[in-house]
Amino acid sequence: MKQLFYFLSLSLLIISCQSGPKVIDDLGDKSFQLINQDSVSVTFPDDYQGRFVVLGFIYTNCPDVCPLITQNMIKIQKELNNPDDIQFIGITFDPERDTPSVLSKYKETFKLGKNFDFLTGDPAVISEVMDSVRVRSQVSLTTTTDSGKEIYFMNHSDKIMVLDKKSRVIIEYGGSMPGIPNLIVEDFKTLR
Amino acid sequence: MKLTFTFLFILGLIFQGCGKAQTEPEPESQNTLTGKIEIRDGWVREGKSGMMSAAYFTIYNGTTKSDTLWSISSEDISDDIQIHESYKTEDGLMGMRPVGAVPTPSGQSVELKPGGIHIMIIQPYRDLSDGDSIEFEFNFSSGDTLIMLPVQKNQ
Ligand SMILES: [Cu+2]
Repeated sequence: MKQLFYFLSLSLLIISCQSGPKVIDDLGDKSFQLINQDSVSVTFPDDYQGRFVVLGFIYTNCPDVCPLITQNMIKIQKELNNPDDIQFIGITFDPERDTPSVLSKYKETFKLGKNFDFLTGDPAVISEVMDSVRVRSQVSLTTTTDSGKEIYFMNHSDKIMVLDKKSRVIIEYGGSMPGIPNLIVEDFKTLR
Repeated sequence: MKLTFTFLFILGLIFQGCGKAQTEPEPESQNTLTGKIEIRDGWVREGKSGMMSAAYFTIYNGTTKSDTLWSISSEDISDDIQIHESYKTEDGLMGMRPVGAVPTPSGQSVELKPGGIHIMIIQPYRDLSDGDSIEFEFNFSSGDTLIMLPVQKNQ
C-alpha cells in the first residue's frame, strides 16, 4: 500500500515536471499603451518581450497591504541578485490619482533601481489591462476626513504573476502573503 | 463501570482542551502586570509628503483594568490620522476600513501590523524619512499619552 502511494506520487511528480508550466493567460497578442513613473510611454507587454516579467498590482493610497505586495516583489528581485532577464512591474488600478509623478515618488520611497517600473495610463486602458489578467478593483469607501479632504479607498485583487518571455502568464499567487517570494524564487529555478 | 470510564474519558478531553486554551493565546512570555500601558516595537512607514503612510506597534496593557485606544493624533505630521484594518471581502478582494477603537484587555498585548490593524496617516504635511522620530498622542479611555515612534525605511 505504502509502495503504491510512493509510486503514484513519483509518477505525478514526473508528469507535472514534463508538462512544463501551464499558460494561465496569454498576453502575447495584447498591446496596451501605458506610461511609466518617468513619464516614458510604454507598450505593455510588447516592450518587455524576451524577458520574464514579475507583475504586481497596487495603488499608492494603500499604505498597508500594497507595500506588502511591493516588498514581496523586491524580495524576489534581491533573492535572484537583480537579474537582467527579469523585469519587475507594478501596475496601478487607480490611474486617476496614480499619475507618473506620484508613482515616481512611490518608487523612491522603496529605493527601487533598475528593472523595476510602475505603470499607469488612461483609465479605460488600465481597466482593459486589469480585465486581461482578471484583476478586480472597486472604490469601497469615499469619506471626508476631519480636515475636509475627500478621499477614497479601494477593494482589490491581491496578486503577483509571472509572465514568460512570450508574455504568457504562467504563474499566479496571492500577492501580499509572506511565503510568496520563496515560492517564486523556487519556480524560477525550473523556468530559466 | 463502562459509564465511569466514558465519564473519565470525557473529563480527560475537557481538561486537555482547557489546558490548550490557556497556553495558546499568550505568546507573550510574561503575564506580569507592570501597572501601565506600554507601546512596544512601534514604527512609522517611510513616506512622502501628500501621500499615505502607516504606523504600527504593540499595545501592552499592564494595568488591572481593561482599556480602549480611541484615536491617535500627531499635529506634527497630519491632521487626519485614522485607525484602520485591512481585511478580505466576501468575494476575495483586499480592502481596508476604519476601525472605531482598539480594545486592550488587562494583561494582554494587541499587535498592530502590516496586513491587519494599522494607523493610517493620511497625506502627511512633510516627507517621513528613515531616521526621523515622530510624536503621537494616543487617546486611551484612561487618558492621553505622548509617544515618539521612529520612521523606518521600506526595504
Ligand atoms: Cu488604511
